[in-house]
Amino acid sequence: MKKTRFGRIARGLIGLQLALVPLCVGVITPPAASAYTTRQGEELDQIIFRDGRIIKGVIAEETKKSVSMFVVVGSIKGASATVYDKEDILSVIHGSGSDTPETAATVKKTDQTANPPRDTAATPGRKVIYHIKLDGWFGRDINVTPLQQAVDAAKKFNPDYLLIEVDNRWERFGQDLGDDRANFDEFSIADKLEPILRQDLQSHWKNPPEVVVWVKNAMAGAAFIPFFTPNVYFASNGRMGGIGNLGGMFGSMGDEVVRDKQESLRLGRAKGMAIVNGYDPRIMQAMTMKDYVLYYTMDGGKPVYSNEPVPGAELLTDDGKDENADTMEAQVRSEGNDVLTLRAELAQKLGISKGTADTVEDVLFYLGVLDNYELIEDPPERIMNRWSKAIDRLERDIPRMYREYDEIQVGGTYNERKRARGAKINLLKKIISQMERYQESLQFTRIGVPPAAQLRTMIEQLRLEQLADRP
Amino acid sequence: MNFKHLTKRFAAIIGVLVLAASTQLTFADDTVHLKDGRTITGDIQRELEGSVWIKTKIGGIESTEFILGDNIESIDRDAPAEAPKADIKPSKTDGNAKPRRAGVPRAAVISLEGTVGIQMTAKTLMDLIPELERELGNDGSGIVVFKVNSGGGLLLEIQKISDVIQNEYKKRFRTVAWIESAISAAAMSSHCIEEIYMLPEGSYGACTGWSGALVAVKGRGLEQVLYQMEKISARGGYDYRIMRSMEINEPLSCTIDPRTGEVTWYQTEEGEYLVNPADKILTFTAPEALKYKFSKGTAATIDELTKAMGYQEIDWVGEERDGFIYPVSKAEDMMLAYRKKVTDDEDRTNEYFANYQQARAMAAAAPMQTRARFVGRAKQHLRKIESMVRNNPNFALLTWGMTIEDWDRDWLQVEKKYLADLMRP
Repeated sequence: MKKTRFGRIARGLIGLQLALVPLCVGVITPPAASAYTTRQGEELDQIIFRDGRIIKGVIAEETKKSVSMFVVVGSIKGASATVYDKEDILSVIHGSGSDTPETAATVKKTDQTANPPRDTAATPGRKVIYHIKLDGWFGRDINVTPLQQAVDAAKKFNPDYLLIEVDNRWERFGQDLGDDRANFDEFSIADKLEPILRQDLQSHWKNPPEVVVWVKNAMAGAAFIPFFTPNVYFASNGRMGGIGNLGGMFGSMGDEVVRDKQESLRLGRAKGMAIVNGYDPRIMQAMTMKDYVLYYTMDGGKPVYSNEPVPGAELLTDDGKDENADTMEAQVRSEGNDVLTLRAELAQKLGISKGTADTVEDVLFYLGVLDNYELIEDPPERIMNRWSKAIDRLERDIPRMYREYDEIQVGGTYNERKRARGAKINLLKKIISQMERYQESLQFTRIGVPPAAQLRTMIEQLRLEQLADRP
Repeated sequence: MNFKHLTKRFAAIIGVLVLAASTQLTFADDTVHLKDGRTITGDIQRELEGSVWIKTKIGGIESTEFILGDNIESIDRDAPAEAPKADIKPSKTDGNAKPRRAGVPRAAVISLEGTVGIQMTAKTLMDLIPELERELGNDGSGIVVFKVNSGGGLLLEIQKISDVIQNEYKKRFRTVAWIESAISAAAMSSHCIEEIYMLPEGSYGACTGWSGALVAVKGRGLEQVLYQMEKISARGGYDYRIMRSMEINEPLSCTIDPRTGEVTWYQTEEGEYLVNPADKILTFTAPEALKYKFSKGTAATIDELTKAMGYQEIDWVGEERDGFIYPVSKAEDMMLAYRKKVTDDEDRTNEYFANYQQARAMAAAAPMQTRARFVGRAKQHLRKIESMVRNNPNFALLTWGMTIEDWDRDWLQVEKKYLADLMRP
């Protein structure tokens, strides 16, 4: 096409239309005026998507959940803003780019997110708090990969505090499971979370932040999280427990000496987790073993524990046997004492909680942060939500993909058969890739798809069939 | 075949070789290792929040690929394209570029993790020795720290590991255990080491032998293990009663002489301190191990470990790496590579077999003119099985119930012959 001014504008308009259609992943606002040119020298904003696409333009609005932008193609700026979901966005760069390709060094200097890094020289004394909310189901929404990603994302903000809010789901069909239900063996997941919030920070961060845990609901595996740090606060209705089934976990299976061994090794590891952050391991034992008797007295504001009823001692947990066994009424009312469940008042008395806080500001108050602080919440929330949504999606998508795999019929001509087998193999590979990436949180009983090893064998079967089919 | 045809064919071969070479040589700058096992080599153009844009060049055609950070396992910059091989091979050059300092001993941390007998084996420990001698020297001044984090495993591997540590490591290096968690067979394997240090969260013990649905080892088998551990306890200088309380329901108490600090152990509750009641199985925590002088100290970092071992300074061999609280030496890299492969093999054993059986069956059923395709395929899968077993001979025992020698003779060679015979008309 001859390069005339008209031709350029026409191409630009066509390009703008083509650009706008595939790039619209959110709500499209109704077009108003026709396109107009950008001002000369105007620096463009950029949105970089998680699939690598980059669009340039002028950001109209940015919220917690979305970014709307007037897309610029060539020298034409769209008249209407397109809204993009932040879940799909890797990064937003504000006016840092030009129309020429950037080098990596340039990008590293100017890349910004919605929360630019703290500049301590400009605001001395300002504290940065990076707030990670661990809600949802422990082992599904709360797991190693999302927490690691959230903590890794914190590094660039150089936070003074990592505030870990623990509020895991502990209910079935909307009904609270109570203090007496327990799942100690989620310890295996907590054991993998612990280095992320302790050892790794101390070993690999130049300025490791202080980890603060804020307990709203920390039941079963989540009950181990407060033990990762000495800085714990409780919400006034906060609760920490649900790990009291270690004693008796194996019922009457096998030989008693082996059951004793299994209890001993688990308790040893759990106590180790408490010890390293200065907690008395007897607290862990009282929370996990039904037959463990623990009393306490107060001496100089600090608890002194004993296994015998010394004068003035208060009973924390009894041996849970015979007449001491918690009644159903006590269990339902959270008044049992076979195992220890910590609530705000008792946790503070025993020195496990440093205070009762019902809002983030309350927690900050305890930390001595009254004003002049920056609270960063968006990136970790996006990361944790993205993981949860991915699990939700995969629990639907993986069975659907498997059904699609089943429905593909291999027949017709040689090329049709080859294509069909290829399609089946690709579906299986996709399923395997997703399963392996998210396996720590996927519940395979819900997915109802064979394990990855079997899927790989099915791929091999298809390849062999193709070999046999080859002319 | 005429000359023109020959030159054409020759040129094509050269072209392929050059092409192959060019893809290897031209863009061997950065290598991105993906979580799905693939590697992509090229020139990283841009990085953003862990995601990269990498320019690759294949057959002279350049293209830029975007890789999301979530999918990236690691990035090697200006590194060769080939991933490190899983087979343990010693390095050809001196393992440590740092010059040796007079009077400062060198030390390496070797992690012992996973299942005893699978990820943690005597064979691997033997294989590491030449590399450790390269890195630490062979004048006896080198220190090997076994950092243990294992929930136990096979009883049959305990004596082998103990023998390698006792007979091979101790005579070459100061050999020390640093315990994160040593449970069951892992504790029993470490028990020959006189110097045990614990991480503050460390645990050690719970050594009851069992199988299946929590069925205890009993009778003669139990007596043999108890006796074995009495001898291994002597190697480490530990009172046999300690390990006994870790294996069976025996009480354990001790008295500590206030003057000398000497600990006297009792297999009753008569001692000053009740260490383990009769109805429990003993697992030490770090404070307990220190209090009863089972451990020599508690150390959270290698600096603390250095001091606990009585040194002002140690040259810890290796490089700092994310996720590790100690420098990773070449010997440790060999251990990591071994563990990665054996874990993969362990997870995929059934898959290897199923794939092999499928291909074998199709080879047998195929007509001669197409049989070679399936025989070739079957051989590929057989090689994977062979690689798995040679990497860890315990697979021969666990899967076939054979020693490796018997397995090689009575299974592997038989299968190889079968496939070869399939190709005979």
